[in-house]
Amino acid sequence: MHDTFTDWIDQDTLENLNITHLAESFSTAKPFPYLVIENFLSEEKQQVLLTAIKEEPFLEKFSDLFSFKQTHDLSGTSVAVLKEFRSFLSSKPFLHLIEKITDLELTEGIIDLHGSLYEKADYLLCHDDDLQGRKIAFMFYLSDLDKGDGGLLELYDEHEGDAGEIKERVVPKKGSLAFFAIDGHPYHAVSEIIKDKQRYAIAGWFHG
Amino acid sequence: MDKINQAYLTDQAVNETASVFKETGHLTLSDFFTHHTYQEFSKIASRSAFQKNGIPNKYHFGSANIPKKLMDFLHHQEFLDYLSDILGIDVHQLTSGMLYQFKHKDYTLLHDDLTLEPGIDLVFEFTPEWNDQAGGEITYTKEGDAFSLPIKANSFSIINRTEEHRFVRYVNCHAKDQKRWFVLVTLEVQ
Repeated sequence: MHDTFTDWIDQDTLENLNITHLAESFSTAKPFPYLVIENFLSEEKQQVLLTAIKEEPFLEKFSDLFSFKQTHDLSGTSVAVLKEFRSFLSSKPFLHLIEKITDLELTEGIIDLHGSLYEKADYLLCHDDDLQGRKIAFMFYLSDLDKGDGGLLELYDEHEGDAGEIKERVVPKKGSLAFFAIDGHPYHAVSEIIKDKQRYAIAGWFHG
Repeated sequence: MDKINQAYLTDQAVNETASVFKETGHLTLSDFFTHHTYQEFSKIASRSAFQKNGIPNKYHFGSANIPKKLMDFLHHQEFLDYLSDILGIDVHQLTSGMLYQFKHKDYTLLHDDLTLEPGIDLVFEFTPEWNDQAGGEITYTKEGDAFSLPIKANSFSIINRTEEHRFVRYVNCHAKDQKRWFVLVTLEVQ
């Protein structure tokens, strides 16, 4: 593994990383291929990233589909830590890791990356992320939530081309990495936050 | 026509309403029904038996057939004549319409499968009380611009929908136990 990994990834996670096992978990996951690696980011980097992303301006985003706050694409950030994080995610070793887990070929150097913030009454309704070029959607959670807070990543099965029922719910935990493939109809949503909590994440897409 | 607020039925009022509609393509009239009629209609609306409709990537809400008493009003020749004067076209019958119920977690989304034919939307609002932070507005969008109808009891809106898309904003937790009811009827325009 490249030395860069030791800066960002939690030591225990790194030592116990079993690519074969992760790849199998990913490909056999229901309702569609996805994976959550808890404690992926080191504790130190979780805190550093959270402090850094709060320095970025968040814009309110509102449409039929969502209500939340989002930064600009982080390709334009002047915050050093975020530039380094973006480099890490765009690096060959990290892309290679994701490629080995997902068995998908990703395009080096193309990455969409932004910070997101959900607060009380914010939500992202059910959709499938189907936009040209996108191959993997990923998110690094920087906040701890409980199931009763809302803000859960909800994964739906498919029914005659539309979304069916929620089959999995991911509760955001600080430092976790979650990702899923865009192929097919990976219908998903972020449930409305119903308590006075803040849900920070750094998320984006890999292309291929 | 003893059901409509008399203030809207004078020649001057009809001409003004028609003029606003012609100029802007949409308008909302407050206190449209008489107090007695509104109480009657809103009671019937809120007590209807609603069927749940839900395809998560498209919509989630309750709906019911328009109650008979309200349907009788919509088909009444005097109301059709009033509409004809406002719209500047001959209205012979109202085509499609339903009574809707939206509460916390209900919504509709813009979706290619749900594209609407151009038409004139008539919206009768029967929501008694609503937190304006709760969402749930009927919203029209066109090329990045958007406007929403006010959620105000006893309002009547007319919208000339040519290229606009329409959706109902997600009703969020600020709604608590409140529910909103409205009748939406569309006239097809050739």
